[in-house]
Amino acid sequence: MIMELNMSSDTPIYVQLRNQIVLGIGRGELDLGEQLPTVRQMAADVGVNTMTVNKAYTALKNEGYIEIDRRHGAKVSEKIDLTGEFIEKLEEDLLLLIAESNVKGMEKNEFLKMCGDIFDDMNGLKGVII
Amino acid sequence: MMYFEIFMSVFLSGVFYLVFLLFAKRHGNMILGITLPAENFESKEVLDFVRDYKKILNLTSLVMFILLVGVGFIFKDTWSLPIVLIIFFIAMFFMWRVGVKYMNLLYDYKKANNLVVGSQKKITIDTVASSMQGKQTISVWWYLIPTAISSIPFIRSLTSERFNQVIPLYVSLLPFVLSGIFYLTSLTLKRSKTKVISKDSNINILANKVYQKGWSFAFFATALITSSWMSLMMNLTYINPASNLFQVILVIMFLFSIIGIFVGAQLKIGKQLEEIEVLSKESKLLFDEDVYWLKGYYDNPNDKRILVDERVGMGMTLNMGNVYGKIIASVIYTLLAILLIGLFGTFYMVEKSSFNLYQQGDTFYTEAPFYKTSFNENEIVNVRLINDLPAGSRTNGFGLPSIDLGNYFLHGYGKSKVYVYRNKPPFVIIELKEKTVLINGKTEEETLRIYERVRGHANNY
Repeated sequence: MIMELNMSSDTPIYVQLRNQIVLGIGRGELDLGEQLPTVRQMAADVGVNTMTVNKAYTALKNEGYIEIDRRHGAKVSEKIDLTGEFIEKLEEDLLLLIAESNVKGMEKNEFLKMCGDIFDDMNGLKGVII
Repeated sequence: MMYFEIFMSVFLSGVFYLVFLLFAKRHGNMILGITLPAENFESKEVLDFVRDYKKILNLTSLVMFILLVGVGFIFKDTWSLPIVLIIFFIAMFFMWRVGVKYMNLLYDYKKANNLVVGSQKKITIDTVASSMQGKQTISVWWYLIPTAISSIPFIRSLTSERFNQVIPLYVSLLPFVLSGIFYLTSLTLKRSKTKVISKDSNINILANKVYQKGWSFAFFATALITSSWMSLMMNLTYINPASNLFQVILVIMFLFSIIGIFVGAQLKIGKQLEEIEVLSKESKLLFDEDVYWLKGYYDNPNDKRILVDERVGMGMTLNMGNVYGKIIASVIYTLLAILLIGLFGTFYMVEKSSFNLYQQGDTFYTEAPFYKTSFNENEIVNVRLINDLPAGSRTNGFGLPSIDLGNYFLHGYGKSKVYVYRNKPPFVIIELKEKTVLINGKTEEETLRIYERVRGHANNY
């Protein structure tokens, strides 16, 4: 998977790294079970401290997207479950998004169509087990 | 002496010319430090820039060569070496500035033709190629070969007292140390940044494999040649401590071998990367980092790394856009200046010093910077005046254009303390029970005074 990080963005690098990996899984660019670069190599490629990469990988591990093995490094989880905790967070995020869209004049159908189009583009979602 | 100066002039000029010529050679999609699409390499403007740069390089190399040879003939003392180095560094700085000028001209051409692409503040990662980074270097077990070769002089020095007298244990460890340095340097390949030139991971993997394998093999070859050459030289020195033409030829062959390996690796890897560039045409990523190199060094405040890969070739360089990079560079240059000033100051002090031998009571003392010795009159076996210096090799000390000072192993005499002005015969040779002292003065009168002072105490009288 090719991913881009913007070094001058206000979004912290570890958040960008986390988001790019999640997007990669969603788009099917990262397969389930696929090996990820080691923390040290990723840090060398991005040009940041290993702690920054560790932070991103730890967040991904806690959210269930990746598994970390001491010997083999990090890889995309074979099975990514939908948890109650995630559903709660999703509702909170959607609340804000929907409020913002509606306040700015976006209709419900328009919003749902946009969500549907983005969903359809995500090739990787077929492999996810609910 | 004249041949040595000509050789050094040719060697330094040759290295200078090659280093800056490589800058003008196409390396993948880069020339004169600027990346270009493949079809633009044959454009008139680009070819003109390269031709003009090479003209300046040819002229500078020729002028430098003439000056270096001239210095060798004019300055016969210690000053010749610092002057040679000053000329060399001035020439390097001048050609570096010429390189920066042409790099900027080429970048202006690139902008004028709308060839600058991509965002300069983004980092691109290929997770597949990155996962394979560091696994494409040659196996560490290959380094057992230079290690085994390096152990030969070490084992001989450890087990043979005669060998140890000519090649002390700490000297015999040098092949190990140098091979180890090349091995450790090759390890930096495993941690280098993954090259990402295409949207196709297979092409990125191939490019990184070519780079890693090529350079790791170059470092192994260097370690092998260094250990073989040093072991051979140490054994030859033991057999015949006198320097001879064959050993000088071996030194020249060694230097050219090492240069050949690195230049060859650079050219071969560059050619292979060029071919990969052609393959990647359809899936090429569009970004470039040229703007960070326009000052002649890497300057990117958005890049948090202190050390980055060199633009051309192998190795690392400091990111001068990073405050720590600037601090480290300042410290390195300061230390280098102190070292050079200290070194040449020491050489100058030794050059201007006087050697003397005086007596206090029944003990004789030598007077010289850094290397003093003393001996009792009862230790003297023989004292002679000789006109030709005996052959030998220096264990440690100073071998300046007109002075030999320090601990030597002299053919026919063994372990010796040497205090001579090489071009001012005669020389007083004092054979003691445990060692030999070889000394003379700045003038023939001084030498004869030293001789008279000591000859009456020789046991053969």
